[in-house]
Amino acid sequence: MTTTDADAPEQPSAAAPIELDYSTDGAQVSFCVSESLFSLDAIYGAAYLFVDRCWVFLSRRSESEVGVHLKPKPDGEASLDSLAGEFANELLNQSMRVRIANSTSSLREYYMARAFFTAPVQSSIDALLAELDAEELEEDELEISVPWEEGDG
Amino acid sequence: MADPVTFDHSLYSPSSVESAASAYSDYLNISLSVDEGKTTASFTDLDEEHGLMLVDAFCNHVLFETIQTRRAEEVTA
Repeated sequence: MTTTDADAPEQPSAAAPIELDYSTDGAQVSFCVSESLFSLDAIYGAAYLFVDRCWVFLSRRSESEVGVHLKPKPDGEASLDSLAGEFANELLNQSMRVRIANSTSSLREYYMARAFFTAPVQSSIDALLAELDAEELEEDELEISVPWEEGDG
Repeated sequence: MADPVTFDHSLYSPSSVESAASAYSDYLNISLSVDEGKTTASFTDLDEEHGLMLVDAFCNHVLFETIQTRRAEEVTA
């Protein structure tokens, strides 16, 4: 079976610049995030990490596009350019986190279920204490338990 | 005077907008109007020095509330 060019996924051409397309007005930086690339959970996750550093506002650009607007807080030192780049990096981080969380959810549920719903097993400490209680102490042939005053006298 | 801010319901939960407006009622005069799929917040009598910053802080608060609410719902679901 052969793959034609029409079937192959579209690859970015080498000449096309691959960079974050953002705009600034001096006070804030704005860019568009496509929900076909990043889920809303990932966008929220990134925004959540930025609310302590800047004012974050989300707008609905279109049915599948979210506008992100970042405005540094008065005491913030980050430049608008670096804020946009850092947010884009964080989007990737959060997107990966969401994917891993989804792919391991059944495993987590399994461990939780096992931890909560398996039959209780007597702990090893309880077992050792029970063994000691049942054990009869042997006679002290060397009289170690006799106080030395009595032994010498 | 600050421009009205529109919170799209696909991004912000309406209850979070109301909750944040209530939390900021001592600092901002906010009037909310709910339209088809969005809530618009209008601000009057803004403090000259800090008014715009308070509007930004209010928007942050709405986003924070929305994310917290969404995550809490996911945990209980």
